[in-house]
Amino acid sequence: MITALLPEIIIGIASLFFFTSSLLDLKDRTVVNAAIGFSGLSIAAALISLGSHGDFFYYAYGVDRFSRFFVLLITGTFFLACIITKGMKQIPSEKISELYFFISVVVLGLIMITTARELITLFIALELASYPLYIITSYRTGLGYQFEAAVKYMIFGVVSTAFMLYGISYLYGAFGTTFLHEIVAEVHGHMDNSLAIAGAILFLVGLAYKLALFPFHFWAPDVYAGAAGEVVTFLASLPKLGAIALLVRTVSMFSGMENLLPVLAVLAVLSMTAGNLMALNQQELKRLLAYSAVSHAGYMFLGLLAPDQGGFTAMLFYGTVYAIMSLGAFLVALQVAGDEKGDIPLSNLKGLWGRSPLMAILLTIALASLAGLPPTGGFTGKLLLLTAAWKAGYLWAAVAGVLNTVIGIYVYLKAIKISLVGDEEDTHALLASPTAIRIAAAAICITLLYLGITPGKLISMADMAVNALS
Amino acid sequence: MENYLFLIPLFPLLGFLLNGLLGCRLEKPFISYIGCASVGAAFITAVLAVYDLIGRPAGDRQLVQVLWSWMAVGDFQLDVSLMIDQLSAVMILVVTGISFLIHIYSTGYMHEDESYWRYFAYLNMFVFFMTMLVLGANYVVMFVGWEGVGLASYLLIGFWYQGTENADAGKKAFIVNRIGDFGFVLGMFLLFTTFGTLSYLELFPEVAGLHHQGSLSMNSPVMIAICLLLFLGATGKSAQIPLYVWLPDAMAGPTPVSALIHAATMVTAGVYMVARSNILYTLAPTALLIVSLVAAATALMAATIGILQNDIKKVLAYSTVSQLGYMFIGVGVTAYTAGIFHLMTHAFFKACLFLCSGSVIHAMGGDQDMRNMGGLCRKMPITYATMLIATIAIAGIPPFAGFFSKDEILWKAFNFPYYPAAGKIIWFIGTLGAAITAFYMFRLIFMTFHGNFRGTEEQAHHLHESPISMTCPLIILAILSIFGGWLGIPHLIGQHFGHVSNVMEHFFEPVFADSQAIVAAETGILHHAPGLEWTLMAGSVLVALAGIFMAWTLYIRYPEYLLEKLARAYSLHYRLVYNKYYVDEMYYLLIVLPVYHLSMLLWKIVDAIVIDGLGVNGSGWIIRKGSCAAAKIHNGYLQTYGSFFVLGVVAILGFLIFYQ
Amino acid sequence: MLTLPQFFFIYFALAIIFLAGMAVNVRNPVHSVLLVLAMFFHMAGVYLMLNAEFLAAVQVIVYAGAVLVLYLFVVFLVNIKEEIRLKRFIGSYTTGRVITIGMLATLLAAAWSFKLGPAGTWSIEAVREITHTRALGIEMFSHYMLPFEIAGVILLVAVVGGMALAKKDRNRATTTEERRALMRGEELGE
Repeated sequence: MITALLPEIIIGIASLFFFTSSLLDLKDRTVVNAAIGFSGLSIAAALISLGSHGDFFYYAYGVDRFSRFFVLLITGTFFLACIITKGMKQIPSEKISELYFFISVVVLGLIMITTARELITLFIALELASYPLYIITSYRTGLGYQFEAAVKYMIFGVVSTAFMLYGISYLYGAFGTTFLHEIVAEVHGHMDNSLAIAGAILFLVGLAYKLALFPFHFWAPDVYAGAAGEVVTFLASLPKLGAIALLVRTVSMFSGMENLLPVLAVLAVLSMTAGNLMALNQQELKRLLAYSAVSHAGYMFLGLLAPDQGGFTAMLFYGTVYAIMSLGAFLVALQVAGDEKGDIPLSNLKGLWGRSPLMAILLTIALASLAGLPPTGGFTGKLLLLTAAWKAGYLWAAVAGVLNTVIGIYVYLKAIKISLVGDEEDTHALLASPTAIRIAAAAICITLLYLGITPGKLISMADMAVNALS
Repeated sequence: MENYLFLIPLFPLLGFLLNGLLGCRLEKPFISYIGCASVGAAFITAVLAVYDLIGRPAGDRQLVQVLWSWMAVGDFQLDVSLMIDQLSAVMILVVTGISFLIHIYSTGYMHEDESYWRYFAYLNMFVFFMTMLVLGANYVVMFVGWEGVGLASYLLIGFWYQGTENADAGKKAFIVNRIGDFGFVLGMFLLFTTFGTLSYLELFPEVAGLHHQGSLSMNSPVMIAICLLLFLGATGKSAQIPLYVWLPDAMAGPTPVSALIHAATMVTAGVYMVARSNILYTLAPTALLIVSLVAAATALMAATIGILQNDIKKVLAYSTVSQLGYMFIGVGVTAYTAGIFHLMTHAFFKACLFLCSGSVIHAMGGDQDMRNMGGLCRKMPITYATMLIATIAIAGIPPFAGFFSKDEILWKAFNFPYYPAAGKIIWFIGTLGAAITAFYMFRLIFMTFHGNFRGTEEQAHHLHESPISMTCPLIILAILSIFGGWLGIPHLIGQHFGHVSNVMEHFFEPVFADSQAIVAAETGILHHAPGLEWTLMAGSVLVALAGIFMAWTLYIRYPEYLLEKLARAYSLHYRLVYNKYYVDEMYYLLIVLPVYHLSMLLWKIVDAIVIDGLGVNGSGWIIRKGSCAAAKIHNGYLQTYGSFFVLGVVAILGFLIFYQ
Repeated sequence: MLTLPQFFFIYFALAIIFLAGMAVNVRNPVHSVLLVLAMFFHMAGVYLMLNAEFLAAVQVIVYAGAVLVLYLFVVFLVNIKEEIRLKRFIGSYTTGRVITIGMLATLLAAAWSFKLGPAGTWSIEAVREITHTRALGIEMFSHYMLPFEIAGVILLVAVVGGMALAKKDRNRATTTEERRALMRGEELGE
């Protein structure tokens, strides 16, 4: 039992540690290193708990392969994000401890989301993973518009959770229970029950908001642009993983509902098209990545269309790759942000090749992966998603997906081009990144290429995770 | 030997990594040593592999190496595996061999460039992806190479990124190629969903087997769709109508790159792909008809544009487009051997032509305008001799290489088994194109090397023969341009010279055996009197000679005078051709502008309805920052955002609940 | 004829709808909060009729007694004189109305397929037998133990978050005036 819940325990201890340390006057470096240490420990814990099973709290909390796969993913992302944001340039020094407290609580909440099997627990865990994010969105040195961003994020979040809670009440009305295993047992009799359908849709809306799916994405660009780069790094990677886990779990229950999958297909296509189109004109890197998140939410939704054709496996695979490649992009973004404490216009990337070849390579690989070019993991993931959707009979959605990669390539190419082109006059100073950052950058490059060249291991892991669902 | 196939792509990859990561700290000689040695090693490995292949009995000529299992999801099983058979053997020799020569040439040509190491890194990367494309044993590995060479080409076109024109050319190439890739990917998906596999060794026997059982009829719609989608990919990569527009612009890159990527190897990938998928195309005659008609149209159109170009590289670029058209005519009329044969000979003489033009440009100090040249034959004898040989080869004069391959294509087109009538038309267009080819190529020779020098004093003073590292590849390629064609001497001629057999045809027989059997079963074996073949052969030589004579008349005998008269008499045609039939402008007008206006209109409507409809006024921080059109619905107001949010929920719920 | 419980239910339901609508529409925030207060009392009435006397008590004590009073304090602290003169709706009233009506229609249509009668293990008789408060306690500390505990952590986050947001930045403008001046300066500088 202890091994099954080890990640939760470690993260819990971490959050208590940071809660205490915010009262003490510790050096910034100590706190940052503690965060890296704790997140590294949590990876070890996740690895230990990977194969364990167990049901807790009257089946409200079920540890299985699926949840532990995501726990490993979340802790890994947490660790990587901690290293990437090591510099903490845009965060006021006295708030760093609190920041880590909030982030560890978010991670705890996300772990619970992937593991909980009861609607109330899911909802509360989702809240646990959301509130701290609203708060840390406002952390930023200098008087920018971080409060505007925080308020927008919060109001949007509250509205979407209100929808979600309403959906849960409908689901309870339809099934008379909030426990997923009891709902699964009865779901076949309710496939055309409009109460259950409305409940499921409202529940999914709350998740679509987290994943920034069109038309529930409106918060994303403003929040990405408004919050500090470090905060956005966490915000762009961690919550998405929880949302993916819960989406897969929910859709695996309700996939038999009439017309549900076609609606999801429409949403997927709309989202990837809208995201790509809106990204076309962006000149600010974080904003560009926000729109890219919108289009990638669309791609990932393609996986939901094919529950029996390997779509979920593809979605898990792509979720993993997405977390890594967006972290790679943010790593570069934070490195080129400089000390201006403002936005990161694309022109900051100018001459990156000359300033730091490693960063230029990382940017190229990460953006190529986002665009879906071989031999990166993004290509493999898109291939899996598109074949799954195609096999499930959503030919038009797959065609739209392929067409969108054509548009998408243009978006990312622009940034790559700027980074490879160097003007003699305005070459910025050489980038001197700390060793840890450089190691992380190299690791991300290698992982993305590795996942492109031999994706077999991750696919079989994702496959095992998905098999644990049924 | 099959266990060592991986070495062929590995050597260039190592070269790329070494030069790319450490190049900025290495000395120039060392960089060129790495670059040339890695490709040279790949070439030697390829030669050994092919030697091993030939040593085997004809029915067993396949070397396969499975490197690792790429992925296995459900029934989706894919290996990363390499394969050499007769088809890829010829391709790999051409690719690595010519790459090696061009690497050597580049050490001389790029000697003064600052980013020497970057150039060689990209070039090695290109060779790596190209070998993957050729050696891949399934469509996905081919696609990886396919995308990779596109990336390398993009990087090399924009190599001198100081000029925005070059960067634009690179972008254009990349985007046009993505449109083609769109087709390729869809074709691949359709193949997979139809037959359940993408591996050549499983797919092609399965398709042939299904056809023999009768469960896959001729010309079934799905086969036509697959073939046309794949062909769309080929039109992008191999610069055919309608996607050829990127290739002339791609000449912005360094000349050795044009020779290697945009003439000899990468652009022929489409031809290779169609030949590789020959069984699919054979089962879809309609697709073949479209392929050959598009190819014929491209061949003629590009040739006519080539007549009036003054940039020496542009002439060669249009000539490449035109020659690629001939290759597609070959594979389009089920003469797959002839198509690949022409691919090979073309690689020799076109690489030679480009390198010669590079040598000329080098001597002219970067000037590419033929109107400033003239009389160079005295200053640059080796360049002149080699270029003349290659020009005769491309013009199709026997016994040079181009004659045999082009003539075989035309002869097979004349006998197009599926559509004899269309075959005659294609033959006519092809022959006409051959005459024009001879004309514009000799126009190039006459304008560049004959007459008087028309450039500046400074240029005249600077003129010199290129260093040995550049002339050496020229000589080798010129020799290949003479003798390369002798591998495919037609039976008709061969029988008079001690029964020299058609080596190419015999060599390729097992690869295309299934296709030929199907063609024979469908149409019966055609017999022609030898007289007809002799006549056509003589005819094509005669028209080529006529083209040369025309060029001589216009540019040597009566320079200026006749030309101006002609230009005045046909001013409309002249302008049309001079401006490349206004295709670029047409694309701008028909595609770019409407898309632009549509997107503007969309935003305007959204703007009018949403922003004004919701009564939002004033300005927030974000709207000032994000002033571009895309940010219009992201106006920074929560009310707007919330409306969209709830509207989305209502739309979804309304559909699901009221639709039932 | 209406039975007495039916009569009361209809009264409470109509009152809730009316009060909620009014709370959105009145111009003065203080009035608005007071209307919500009245609405909460009526909701407590509905709970009472559903045999949930504990919930009714909590509703009155926590929401009406504590939360809304806090709101009132906040509203008093903010200078509302200027706010009252503003328009009630900044966005388009029509658009909002159309979307809201659409939302209502779909949700009502969905609710139509609701099957009346108690679902799950706790039937009305079972609740009556051991009383509602006891039933709630049993459920909350057995099946719903975990969410109950997580809610505690959320409260901790809320407390820390509230303090973190209120914490003044060192070396930075402290008063509203200074803050505004800085904001203007920064805007001009851009």
